[in-house]
Amino acid sequence: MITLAHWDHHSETAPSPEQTDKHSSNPVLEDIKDLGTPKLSEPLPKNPRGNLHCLTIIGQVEGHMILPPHNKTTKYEHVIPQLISIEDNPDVDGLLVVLNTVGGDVEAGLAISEMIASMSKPTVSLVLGGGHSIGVPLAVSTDYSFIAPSASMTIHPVRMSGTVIGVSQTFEYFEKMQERIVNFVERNSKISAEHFKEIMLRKEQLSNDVGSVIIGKEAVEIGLIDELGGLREAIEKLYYYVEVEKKSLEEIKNQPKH
Amino acid sequence: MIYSIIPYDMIMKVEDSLNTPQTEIIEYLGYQVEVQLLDASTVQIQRIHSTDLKAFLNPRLQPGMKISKRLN
Repeated sequence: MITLAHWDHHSETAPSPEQTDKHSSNPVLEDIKDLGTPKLSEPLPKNPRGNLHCLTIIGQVEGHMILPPHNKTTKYEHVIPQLISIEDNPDVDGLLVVLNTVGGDVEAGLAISEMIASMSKPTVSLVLGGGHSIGVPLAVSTDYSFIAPSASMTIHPVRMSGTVIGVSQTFEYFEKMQERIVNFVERNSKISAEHFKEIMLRKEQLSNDVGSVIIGKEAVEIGLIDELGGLREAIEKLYYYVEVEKKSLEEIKNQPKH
Repeated sequence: MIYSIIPYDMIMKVEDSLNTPQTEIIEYLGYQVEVQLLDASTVQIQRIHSTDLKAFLNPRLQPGMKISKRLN
């Protein structure tokens, strides 16, 4: 990634000599020009209910391999540092994870899921459109999860294409990969590993694969997602968690010291 | 290892990639944005990568906005 230190808004491409002089005498513009760090004259007002951040996980989750550019991707190396800064920044009170993903890299997906699951700040997820394959552990990784009534989640086994060398070893490797996903989902949702696996290996629903398509309400009924809802419900839940968090922090502070 | 509903061959197809515009992630006004290079000195914002909700309401960060390199 490059830092845009010497770039400015399009309308300012050809400054007149007068403007150039004005710029060089203005310390705020100097900062923008030289360091890429704009200084605002006044800090933006803080939301009294808490400052929320939003992470959108869209397209393919990109991990160890750079995918061809026709894929819309969410990159592991962008998301992980963002999650760390959200956890570390005292100005951020909660995180909303919005999912519309077709799946992607197993290890990148699991890494992001584990990061979200281990965050101390309140997190809420909202599945819109689709939360397929590796989108499933991502959706259940938050403190509370929502799914839109029309959204769907495809649960299917981890599969492969191409030449397979050493069938039994490869099969075992895939089994282990799958086990990691199943375990994560079991740890972070109300569904049991057995039930999740049974859904994953169903034969009637997908034409050229085993697996299931779970739509909206069904995801809640099987215990994968907590509630059916949309943006309003997700934001309200997050503000509720932020409030609870603040209250418990105050209680800890007000406790008499021994 | 890919775990996706899109078939592996479709994800990895190369011919489609040739006509796809190249994008880059840069930091602008303190926020991470994905831009498409239009010419040597102009880029166009395609997507906001920052998670900060304030970035999405900033008119200078709207997708489609062009940013030019200042001529020094």
